Amino acid sequence: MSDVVITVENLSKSYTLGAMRRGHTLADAINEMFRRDKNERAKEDERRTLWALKDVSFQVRQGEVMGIIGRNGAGKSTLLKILSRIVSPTAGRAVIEGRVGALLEVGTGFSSELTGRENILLSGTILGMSAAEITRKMDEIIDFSGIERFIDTPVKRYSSGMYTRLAFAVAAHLEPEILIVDEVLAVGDVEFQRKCLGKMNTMTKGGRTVLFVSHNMGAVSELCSHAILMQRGQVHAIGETGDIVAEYARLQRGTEHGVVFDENENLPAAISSASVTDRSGIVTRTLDIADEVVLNFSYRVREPLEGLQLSAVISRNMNEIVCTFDSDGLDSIPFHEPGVYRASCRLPGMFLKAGNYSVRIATGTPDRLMMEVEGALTFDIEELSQNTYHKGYRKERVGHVVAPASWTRDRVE
Amino acid sequence: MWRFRRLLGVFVWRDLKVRYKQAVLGFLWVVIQPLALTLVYSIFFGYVARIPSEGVPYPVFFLGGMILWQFFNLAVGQGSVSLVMQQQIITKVYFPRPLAPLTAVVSAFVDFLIMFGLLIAVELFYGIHPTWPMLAAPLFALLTGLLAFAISLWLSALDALYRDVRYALTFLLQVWYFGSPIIYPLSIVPVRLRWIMTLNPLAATIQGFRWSMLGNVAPPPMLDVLVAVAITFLLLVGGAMFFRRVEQRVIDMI
Repeated sequence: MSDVVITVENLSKSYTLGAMRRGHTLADAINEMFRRDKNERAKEDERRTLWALKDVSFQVRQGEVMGIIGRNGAGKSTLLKILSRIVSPTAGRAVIEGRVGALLEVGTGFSSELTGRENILLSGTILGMSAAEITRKMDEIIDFSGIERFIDTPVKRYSSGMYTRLAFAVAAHLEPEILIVDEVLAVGDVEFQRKCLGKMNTMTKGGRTVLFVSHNMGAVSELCSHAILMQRGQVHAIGETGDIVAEYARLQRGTEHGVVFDENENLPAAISSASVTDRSGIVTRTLDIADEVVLNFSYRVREPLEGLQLSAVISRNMNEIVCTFDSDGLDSIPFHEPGVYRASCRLPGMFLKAGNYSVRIATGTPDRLMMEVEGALTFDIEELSQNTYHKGYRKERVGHVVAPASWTRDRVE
Repeated sequence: MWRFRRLLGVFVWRDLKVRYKQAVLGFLWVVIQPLALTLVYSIFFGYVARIPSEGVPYPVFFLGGMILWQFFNLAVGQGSVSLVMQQQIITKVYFPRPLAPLTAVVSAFVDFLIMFGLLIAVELFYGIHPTWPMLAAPLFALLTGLLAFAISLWLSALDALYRDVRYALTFLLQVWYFGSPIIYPLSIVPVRLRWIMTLNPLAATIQGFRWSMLGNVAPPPMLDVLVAVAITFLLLVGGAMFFRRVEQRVIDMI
């Protein structure tokens, strides 16, 4: 059980920035060749080089389920592409012993003109299943997909949901020795996701070696025994999943200091600083979905004021306003003497869905807006402690809040 | 390796399936197209322009050269855009990349087999019976396929890097078509232009194919055949090396 099946040594991968635009036609390439001398070109190349991975080393043992986490652009996907041989590294090496099945996208190799059944054959072969294996599992795959009625219809007539179901059904029946999965679960409807998660669970319990990349810390915590935390193309930490997820959360903290505003002596009242903290008062940028979010304000009042209010307008993912919090609910401060004040607004955990939030803050009296700052505070909520793959409030679904609701169901006929 | 041979099979099957899927007549088009072309060319070049056809009826003569050209044309046309066409798969799954152009050549070959059957039917209709040289026909078809694959190796990689290739290709193939003895026999090419036919590997293969299939057509000059084999071999080796060299850059850039 302790044999090493994946060995990664000093793996690096660089991309040349702008290579997509430049030299895209032959004429450009020829121009490029004559325009500058070699030295200059080398310098320019240096500037345009992006190291997607730098000096990455780790080992994965047989039967280990390894999570790979990190922010966007940390190098996770590049790493998976190298491990599945799609991309070759600039330096270093990756040695893998065993048959690898890579699942970097659902519906790999699907052809829209072909029927569901034909695509199972096609996609299955591309993903590495043998003909016998596919024939043997055909019924099982169709059954798992839950779209028997449309199996002989060209997939171009499928809804995107049906397409995904079929695609995952094929993928779920792959039986490689080493499985590489990139965030494929983030699609499909609730019931189907539960099914997929169950399948993933049995796969991982069956002693298979799995590499699993995800943004969903809850899913990583549930599925993976160990995890790798990537940051800026490098391995930041490797270890037990619990520790690594905690480290990931810690990494996001303390990078923010809140905002401080310039004093304005002409205003009767003004916000002097604001910050987002967790329940214990630590300034942070990233909060768990179950954590309280605390918006802190300090403000100076220069003359006696009646009915001074603070307000925070929270919007999610840059555009949608989620809700507004006004301090007029606070009966204890209806009247302000001049002075410096502090106020905080606590948002309960399990209220805002995962996403990027920005806060517009303002202060004023009912007849005068004294100060308003768009996007003064920003914070992210991530699904660190909760596995939301089968929940209606997971990040990818529409809607902005985790609202409590109870369902009842009766059979009426 | 076995797995990839099977993958090739599945790729070819998909190619054919998709190509004729939404056509009511489906596979029949493989037969209808050359028949219609033969009719048109026979009227204008055989009947009106009276181009000589080495002693066989012009329709048979034309068809005998044209199906080989169609094979080459389709294989190169599809093969040279194959990497870009398959980019969805190429960036998500590993398989040996030359499989992409190879798929195009093999699926064009399946079309060729059907046209080959058509040629035999037309020959029988004109009372031409296959003779022993027919056994050499597969060799000329193979040579054509290898040439198409070699060119596809070069062009598919180049096309992925510079899309100029696909625009230039249409024109190049047009020139190549008229520069090969398809409409006309090798024998009417003026002596001072003969060297073009020697350097054009398709001239020898088409002439050879006709010789093997049509009975009393003259065999291609041995020199031409040797040059054709040599050029094909060089293009193939060079193409494989070039493909290997730029493969990774293609994947990063595609």
